[in-house]
Amino acid sequence: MSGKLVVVDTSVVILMVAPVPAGNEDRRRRQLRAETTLGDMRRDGVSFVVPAPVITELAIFSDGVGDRAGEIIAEVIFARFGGMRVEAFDLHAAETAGKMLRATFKQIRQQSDAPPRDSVKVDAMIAALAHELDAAHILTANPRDFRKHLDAVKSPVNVLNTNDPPMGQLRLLVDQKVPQATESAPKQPKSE
Amino acid sequence: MVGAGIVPEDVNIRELAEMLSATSAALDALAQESGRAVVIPSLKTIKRGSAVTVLWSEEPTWAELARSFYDAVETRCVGFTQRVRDAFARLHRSVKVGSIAVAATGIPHAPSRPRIVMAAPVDEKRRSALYSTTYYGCVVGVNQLSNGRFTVKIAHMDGGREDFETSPKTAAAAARLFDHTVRAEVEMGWDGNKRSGLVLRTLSAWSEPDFVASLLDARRELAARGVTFDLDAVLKELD
Repeated sequence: MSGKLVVVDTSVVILMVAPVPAGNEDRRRRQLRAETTLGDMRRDGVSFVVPAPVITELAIFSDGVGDRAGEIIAEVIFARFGGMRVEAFDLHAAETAGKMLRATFKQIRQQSDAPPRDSVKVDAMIAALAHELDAAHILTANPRDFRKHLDAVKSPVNVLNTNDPPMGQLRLLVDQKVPQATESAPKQPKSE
Repeated sequence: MVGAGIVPEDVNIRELAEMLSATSAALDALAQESGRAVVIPSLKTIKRGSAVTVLWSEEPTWAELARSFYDAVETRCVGFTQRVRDAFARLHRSVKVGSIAVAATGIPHAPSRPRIVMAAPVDEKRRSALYSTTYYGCVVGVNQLSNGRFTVKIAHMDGGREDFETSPKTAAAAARLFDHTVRAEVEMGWDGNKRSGLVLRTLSAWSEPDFVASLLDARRELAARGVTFDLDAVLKELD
């Protein structure tokens, strides 16, 4: 993975910076998975890229969590993002996002009960930038729309969900050819 | 080829070969533009009096192609594709003695069209959008060209090198940042096929931060300042 670009989605930034209240094990586990994935990638020498539309979403988010908290979040995050590799949403990305959204809206129009969501547009902008940058991965905790956008332009960019088990564990399962009974074990009721 | 007193002896074979090659390229471009089969005509006659070459083919699409050729000359390629325009510009340049005149005669089911002297295609500038973006890379060259302009060569972090024209002030800043990683604000044109006029507006020293450490640091600070929010609600809003 050395020398490759990884585009980081807004959801991952928020997931990573959110302080976890004591006792919230589910959130702590999700945060740990994201942290492990990012840490593994850092060790492999990837470059992390923050698309400019992520900054837009972070600004919206910091305004929506209460006045004082929002101010502090914005201050703390943006103070650190000054040195980050923030990629401008330029002409090529804009054209690509347009192609992606054209395909997405065509699908949405065929489903009358699913009106376009604003987040679809921002996700398309992030996906378009990842495609234009020839990024290896988009790292997200909200993978819902990214694959669809990337497929619209036959993009080879991979979508990695930080909620999935870290890649090392995934490889172990595949390599060891775990028997069916063991694979289905986690699905069994906890009472057993 | 027309001009006062021009005879076949005035045209050397290299010039003739270039003119015929350029004619063939122009016919190919026209055929491709209209989706017609490419026709390779033959030389039928070379007349004395000026230096007239008559092209002819018995292919069924030849008549239409010949008419398109005449139209392209008559309109100076206005409305034709760039490839056609480039091909006719080459044809126009191919003749050093006199000019090229074109007539369309003997085309079945079409009136003859009079001889017209060919002019260069109208210089329609390709429509180009100007846009700006940010590049990250290393300054690997600063040059002053013989025309007094300055260029800065940047090796992109993600591979490849490019030259950017810039102001003397930015070139001086680039020289101070030679062999260092920089964040560069650049501007360029885009005509839908290729970029042009790459200009470096500003650049500043930059080093890749530890992204993960920065996020963990932000989390620690938010926790220390007692900031809490409903993460699930925020993530749902983003979805």
